[in-house]
Amino acid sequence: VSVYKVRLFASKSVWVYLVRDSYLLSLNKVTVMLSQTVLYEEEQFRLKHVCSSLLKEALAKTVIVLDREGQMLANSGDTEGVDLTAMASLVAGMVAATSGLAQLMGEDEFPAQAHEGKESNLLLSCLGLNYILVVIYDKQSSLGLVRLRARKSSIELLNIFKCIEERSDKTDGVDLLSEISDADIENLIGDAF
Amino acid sequence: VSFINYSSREIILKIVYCGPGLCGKTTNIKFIHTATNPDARGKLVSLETRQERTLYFDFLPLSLPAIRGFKTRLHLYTVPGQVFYRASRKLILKGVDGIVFVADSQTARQEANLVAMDDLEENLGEYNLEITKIPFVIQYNKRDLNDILPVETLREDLNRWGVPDFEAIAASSEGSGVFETLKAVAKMILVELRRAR
Repeated sequence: VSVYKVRLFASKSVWVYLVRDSYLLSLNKVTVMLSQTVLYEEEQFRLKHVCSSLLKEALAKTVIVLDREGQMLANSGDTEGVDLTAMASLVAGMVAATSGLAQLMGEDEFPAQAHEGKESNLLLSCLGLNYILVVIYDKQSSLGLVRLRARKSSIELLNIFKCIEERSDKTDGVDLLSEISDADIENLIGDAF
Repeated sequence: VSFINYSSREIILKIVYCGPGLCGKTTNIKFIHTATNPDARGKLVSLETRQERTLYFDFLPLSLPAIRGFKTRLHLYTVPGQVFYRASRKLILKGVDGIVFVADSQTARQEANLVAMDDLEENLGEYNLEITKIPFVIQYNKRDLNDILPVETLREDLNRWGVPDFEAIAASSEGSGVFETLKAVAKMILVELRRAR
């Protein structure tokens, strides 16, 4: 039986074993908790470095790394005029929908998607269970080259993601909000809208 | 599942609007978009069909003032309300920090409200989450229409947990109740994050 070790909550060391047929074992041991992903500057710098290298090697226009929940982690290249927040959310939605489709067809995943436009093309690659690599390229490059270079970069990226997850695990909640009072929260929300 | 980025000094919180088809989830988000200072909002992404049904989701990023030097951003999502979009609803709920359930106050839509609430509970259950354990508010929308149920009846049927609830007319020019609902859930998330530390 194929068994995958799956992280359920980012902030705590909670793992369950996902059997190929989607049985969740040990799930009863998991408690509900608020979890979070924490991205520190060091890992962000490393991610950006890999994105920049891939950009050059693949002759791409833009490289973006995000998580499956639509949070952008790093990017490189030409992002002017591109709403990266909206793009990250749409890409995550697209990957989620495609994963649902894959499961309907009895596949675990469609790990890569290519979209072809008149001027710009897009390659989306799923990296592990939690992350997505997006490469935008034009006529100066080709799908074959982009896929080849993306595959090479994905190994480095997966190592960095492992570090991010380990550090998020060790961080028992970031102490950003512990000292703010009810009045602070009230003011923050009150001032915002 | 809040996301904290030390490099860009940002905290990102995900709020999802749920509820039956055509209850006004997208109308809530659109009102927030029009009534928010352009500097504090991002692009509204709306994937609607011609019949104003949300096909996949709506998405609106908003900025709050900084907390201890960290910019706080709210990512608002709506899910498609129609029963047959259950799979995409579940996907959008992944990583949610707070939920707004928008109920349609019309008598004829009460059954749809109840079905949507059951569906939400089931979807959350699949992520091992419980309504009572995450920031959750209910909005009784369309209070201006004829043939609506009294708030007491809606509350009795839908608000079994006694969570904060609000009356709203999201489609009105003042969008009454829309910001009250959003503020309440955002506040609950921040309180919960502080408590979780």
